[in-house]
Amino acid sequence: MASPAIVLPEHCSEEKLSGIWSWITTVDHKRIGVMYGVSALSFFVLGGVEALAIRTQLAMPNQSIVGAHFYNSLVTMHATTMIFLMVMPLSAAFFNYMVPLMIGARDVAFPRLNAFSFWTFLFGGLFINSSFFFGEAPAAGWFGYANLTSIQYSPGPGVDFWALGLQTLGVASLAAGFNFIATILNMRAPGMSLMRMPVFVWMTLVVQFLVILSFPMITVALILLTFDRMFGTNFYVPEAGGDPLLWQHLFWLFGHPEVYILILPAMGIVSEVLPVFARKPLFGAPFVIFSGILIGFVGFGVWSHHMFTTGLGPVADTAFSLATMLIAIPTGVKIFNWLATIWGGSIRFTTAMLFALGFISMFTIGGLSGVMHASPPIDLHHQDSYFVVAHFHYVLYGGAILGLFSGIYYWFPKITGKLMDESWGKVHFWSSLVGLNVTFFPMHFLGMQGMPRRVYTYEGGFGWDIWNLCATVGAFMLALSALIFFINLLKSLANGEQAGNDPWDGATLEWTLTSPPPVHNFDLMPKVTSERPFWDQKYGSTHGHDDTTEVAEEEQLPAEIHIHMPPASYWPMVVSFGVITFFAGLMIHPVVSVVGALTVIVGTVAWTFEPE
Amino acid sequence: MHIRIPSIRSMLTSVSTLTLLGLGGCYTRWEPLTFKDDPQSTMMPLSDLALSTDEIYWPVIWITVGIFVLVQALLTIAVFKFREKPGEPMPEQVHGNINMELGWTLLPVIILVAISFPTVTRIWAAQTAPEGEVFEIKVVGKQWWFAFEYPELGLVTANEVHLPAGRPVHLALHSGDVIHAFWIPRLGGKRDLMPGRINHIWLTADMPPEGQDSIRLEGQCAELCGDSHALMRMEAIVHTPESFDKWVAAQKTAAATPTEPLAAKGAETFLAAGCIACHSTDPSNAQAFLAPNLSHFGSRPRLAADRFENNAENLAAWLRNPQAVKPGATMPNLNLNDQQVDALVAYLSSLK
Repeated sequence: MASPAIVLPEHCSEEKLSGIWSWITTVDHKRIGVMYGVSALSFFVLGGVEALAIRTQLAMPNQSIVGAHFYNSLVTMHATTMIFLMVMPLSAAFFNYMVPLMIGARDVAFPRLNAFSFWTFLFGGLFINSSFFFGEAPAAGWFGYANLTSIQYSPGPGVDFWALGLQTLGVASLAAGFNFIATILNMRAPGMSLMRMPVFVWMTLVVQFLVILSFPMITVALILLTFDRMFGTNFYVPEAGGDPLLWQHLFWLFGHPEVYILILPAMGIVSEVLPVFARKPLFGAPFVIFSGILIGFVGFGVWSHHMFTTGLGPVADTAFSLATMLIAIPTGVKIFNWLATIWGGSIRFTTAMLFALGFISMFTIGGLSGVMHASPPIDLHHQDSYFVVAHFHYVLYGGAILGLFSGIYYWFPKITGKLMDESWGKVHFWSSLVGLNVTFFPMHFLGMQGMPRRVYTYEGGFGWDIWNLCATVGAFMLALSALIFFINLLKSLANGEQAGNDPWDGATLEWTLTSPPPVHNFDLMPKVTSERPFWDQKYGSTHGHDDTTEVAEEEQLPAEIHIHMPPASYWPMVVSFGVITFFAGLMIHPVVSVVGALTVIVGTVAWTFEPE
Repeated sequence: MHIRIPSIRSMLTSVSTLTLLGLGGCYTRWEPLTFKDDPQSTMMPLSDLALSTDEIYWPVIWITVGIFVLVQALLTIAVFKFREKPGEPMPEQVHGNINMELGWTLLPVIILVAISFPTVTRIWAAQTAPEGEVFEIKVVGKQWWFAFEYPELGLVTANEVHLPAGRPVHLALHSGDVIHAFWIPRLGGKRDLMPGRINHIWLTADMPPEGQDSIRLEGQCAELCGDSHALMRMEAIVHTPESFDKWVAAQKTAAATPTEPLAAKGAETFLAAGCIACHSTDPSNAQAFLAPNLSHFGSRPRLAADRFENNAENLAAWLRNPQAVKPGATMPNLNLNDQQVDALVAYLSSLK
């Protein structure tokens, strides 16, 4: 039986798809995913340079390589960059590229809104970083505690860049949140019930709910801060009856779900990679999914564990301590299910698999140190000390970043059609693993030795010297490992081995397509009858009934199929530009904000009436 | 390969046993992790508050180390045992096992319940004021130094807090500007100094070591509070009761007016250059919170909020340019000339 000919609209021609303008106006989730990825990796380098500057300053006691205020800017920008401009967008790169492919869709629910999210993120990231050139990078920490952030104690423009930049990023994330929820809930291929959805897609769904429920909190927190700083209100000003603690509650109501936003995508990736390279299904998939949901849900109930030192009182301390311990349970369940996945398997040690295994190992360390400071008596020592710095770097570098690298090595062939070099990949993995342990393990000791965080210098004679030097050496090892990665990435892009459709013997729908996939993804909508549609198609079902995914052979297919693809559009970028202009105008001149607001309004109207 | 699945009952029994053994028997301090020679070690308790934390800290350390070893061992064994061998068939496609799910859900629950009991009792104990007589100290943190007032004694100090050992002490924590945190690890965990509210630490410090009248303990601010957060340090001096009474008596006695000419000149400069506007050399001065009280300054081993050794060279450097020593320091640069600086150094050093 002849396959039907696929007819695509004229705007999908080769000619229309080349050149800068095609990238600026793209609404294709795959191109948007690539742009998120390239941006995130660029910000990774920037955040890494900031880290190296921090570690160089702290390599030895009493140094003055950077000044006190600039050091505080470095720690603020390092964290802000890594969290908002690296881990989140790199996760978004995977949401964008992979989710539609994994659910059998041609694109996301709102392709232009998708492009809007990307441009808004990019402009927000550039705006915050422009602060280095326009007077002062923010120096009040990535968590910006009031009342240090008040106009009285932070008179420069740094905190304004930070607050308005984060607002912009929040707009981008919120738009994407709604987009992906609509996509995942509405656009799955026939037969793909929620429980047949890949775990990566499930984690994406949970993360988007976390985004839309938590970002409004920081939006409010930042609005109150901006009003205090620019319009004379006193929400956080204690002398006038305001309360700095209000900021902490609002910030951490966002901030705690945010850390699950950071880790769940990587957990989703690991849940995809481990089964493929162990050649067994994910053990306890419903339990892994349900644990992810539980983590997301309970994650809204633990925020004040960041505030155990603030004097909330024993009732609050008890409640938040117990809730925090509760979250350890679904987390542990996931780890044991991942171990059971590889147990009894037939493990292939590709680079993607090595990073996924590294995730299990390193995230466990970070999770355990977190359980320690779930207990306030212990936390009153850990809080604001290097022990916490060790904890979150283990879960963020050892967890999120290793997981995301696993995703890169796993999905690079699908995205580019080429394989990354496996030998250099292994060098990257081992140097990362060693580097991160050399950098961050000693920080547990520094915390136990009483070294506080966010200090630009320290004295000798406290036992801190050796561990600080060790951490600095490790940081440079990580820099080297990143360099190896980037060289491999570029070389593989240039002349990597051809990957083919299914280089890894995968289980999910994306591996049924060419590498890279055609612009329209699927010729025909796949019909799904299990949670491992492609695996069952290749090997037969293991569920005891005939579960193969098949193209509907019973139907008579037409000779030609016309596929509608959304046309390119420049309005998303225009509206993004309006958004950043509005926020920037608050620091420049009201007229600029008015121009920005008008651009948003006019742009949105034009976007709405644009022919589809 | 077939996985042998243990029964729930056997898993629960072994886990509960291990946990109870762990918590009961594991207040074992491993010396290398006590960092006993490090002045700010959090593992060398010297008060009832610090000891209470120590007693839960060690069991929790051993439990987490135990879980760490278990997980890493399983991972390592799996990675070696189940690596792909050439020609081997597809592994058994196991989808899950409900007993194991129950087991490894209940295991963490039991451990966490075990940790939660000593946690909750300590939360409440630490935040309950002790019965009976309590020695009051008011702590005020400002950018970037700590002021201490002893209302019962009518005294103030700066950068050093003096405590009597063996008596309950109440530290009432205030902030004069932004959020700071009071942390002297050997006396216990930290508490924030929040503008607009008062936080509390209650503790009874241990006696100094055998043969010593007093012991100096190190601490510093532990909440980012601006440019010189890293330099906002302090010391606690814990006295035996006799030593404490002696200190109080000496502190109440104002330092003798200097007779040595340069120091006498310095006393005049102190007034003429305007130092007196913010700093007082009167140990009872309630204006103490504008700038550090300088009574008995000459007896202090450290200056600039316990950051530098109190010697002529460091003091002169500070007087010449406070901001160079402490970025952003509130003390204005008075553009003192060399003679003024020398005189002031002589005067302040004479205030024993």
